[in-house]
Amino acid sequence: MNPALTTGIMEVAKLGLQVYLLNMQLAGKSPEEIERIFQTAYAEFKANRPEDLPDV
Amino acid sequence: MKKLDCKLLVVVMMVLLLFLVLPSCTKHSKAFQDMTSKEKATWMLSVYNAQYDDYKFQAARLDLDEVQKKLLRSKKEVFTEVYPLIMTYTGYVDSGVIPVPELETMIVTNLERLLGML
Repeated sequence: MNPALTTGIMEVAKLGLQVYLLNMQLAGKSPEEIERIFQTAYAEFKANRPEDLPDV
Repeated sequence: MKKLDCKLLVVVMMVLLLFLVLPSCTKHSKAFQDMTSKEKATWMLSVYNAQYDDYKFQAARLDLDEVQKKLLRSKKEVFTEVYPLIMTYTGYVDSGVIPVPELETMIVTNLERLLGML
């Protein structure tokens, strides 16, 4: 199978799964729970600076 | 190639299983446009963080081919563009201010680029 096609299909499958799980994480949560998830994700985001990503 | 095909098959089957066998779990999930600003911000942060972790994992591999390297380089550009936008949006939300729709659109467009990048 074409490596580019294989990579593409795997990326789409992986990303579809990620988005689905993220949506489910927020489903049915109370405002307090959303706030807690928000603060945790925000703290992690602030540490995830793009300039710290390694080049390939 | 056999190993890669098996891996691909497993991933595709897992995704199909989730979407076909668990429809009742989506009963309470919200569409993005129906989310509050805080929920939208949480979603944006989570997508960014998950993609960031995936980039670091992929970049550490020793067997990347040129297609995969090119994909990662493009993703890094998007991370660089979207980071300040999400920071601004989240700052507004955290301080109780409703962000302008245009900022939200810009972030979603960039995250869609990240998510849809092949």
